[in-house]
Amino acid sequence: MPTGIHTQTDVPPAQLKIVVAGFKAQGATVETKLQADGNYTVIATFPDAAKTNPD
Amino acid sequence: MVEIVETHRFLVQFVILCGVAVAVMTFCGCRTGTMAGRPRPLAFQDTLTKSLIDKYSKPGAIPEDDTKVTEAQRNQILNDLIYLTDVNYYAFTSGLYEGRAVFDTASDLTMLGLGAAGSLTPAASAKAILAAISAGVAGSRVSINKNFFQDQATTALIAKMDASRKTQLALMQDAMAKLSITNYPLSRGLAQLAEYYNAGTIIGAFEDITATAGAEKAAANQSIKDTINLNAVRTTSYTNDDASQVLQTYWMPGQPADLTVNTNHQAMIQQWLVTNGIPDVPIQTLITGNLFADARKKAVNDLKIQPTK
Repeated sequence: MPTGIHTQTDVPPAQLKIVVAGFKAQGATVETKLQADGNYTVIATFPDAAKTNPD
Repeated sequence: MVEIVETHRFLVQFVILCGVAVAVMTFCGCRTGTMAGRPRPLAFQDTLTKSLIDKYSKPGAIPEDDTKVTEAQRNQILNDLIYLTDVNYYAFTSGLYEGRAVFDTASDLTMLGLGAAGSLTPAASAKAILAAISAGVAGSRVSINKNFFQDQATTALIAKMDASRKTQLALMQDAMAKLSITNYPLSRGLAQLAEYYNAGTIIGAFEDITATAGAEKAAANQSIKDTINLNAVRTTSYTNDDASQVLQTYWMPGQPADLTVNTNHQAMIQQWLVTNGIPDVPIQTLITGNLFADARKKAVNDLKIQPTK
């Protein structure tokens, strides 16, 4: 499973919901930022494996 | 955990050895008070070096429990030890330019350092590498003295050490900057520090004497590089090709209206990621990340997904 922060840039507005839903489906907390060109940057933060599985 | 403790013990000895080496080079080797081929050390260097040696010679200065070390602490410790290693190396190479006597002293210290590393470094492969290198120098020391320094090959030798050190340092700095404490724990950094130290020794310059050692070392470095590369692809730009659409629909059959995922298909894709060695890549990144065009085509093919009409 993914861990840490994964970023996807240049996401078109029409695709934003799908991309956000995709990251959330795997447990990420998602933040979006509007780029100057009208597209979005999606920042997905996944739980750290070390914190969730301390051993 | 035992390995981590052993590594830390080694590092403490290693730091002390660095200090001894620095002292020998500074106060005995540099007879004229100048550093041949280099500018004089900065005024604060001796004070800082002594301070760092004192700091890391104290019990517990390097945490024995890897899990309690933060990323900032890891980087601080590694940067301090890199500094000490650099000071030692510069003194050593300046001595090399001055001649054989200083080299003999440094050679003794180097072998001592390798001996300590060989008996205490955790990874078995690293032990083998260090033991091989250590044995190599013990056997060839006389001929090195006799041949190299009378053949005026010192500059070439130092150039080789510089190049090796540069590679090792870049790897460590990259890892410290880009990898989390989970992916790059202190123990791994300390093991790499030993490699960095060895890269700056005569023995390190001749490490190719054992092909096995070279191969194992390359594999270890490749592992770090792979991890760094994996982190590099954590930033992708959006792309939407045919394979993207096929995979997105396979994962979210009702999209774009219904964004519910098919959990069975999600498990299949996740398993594919694991099987193909990229378990850390989110499914969405696989589907719309620009760096994964080939991977998603393979996924569509491997999972035998048919495009929906």
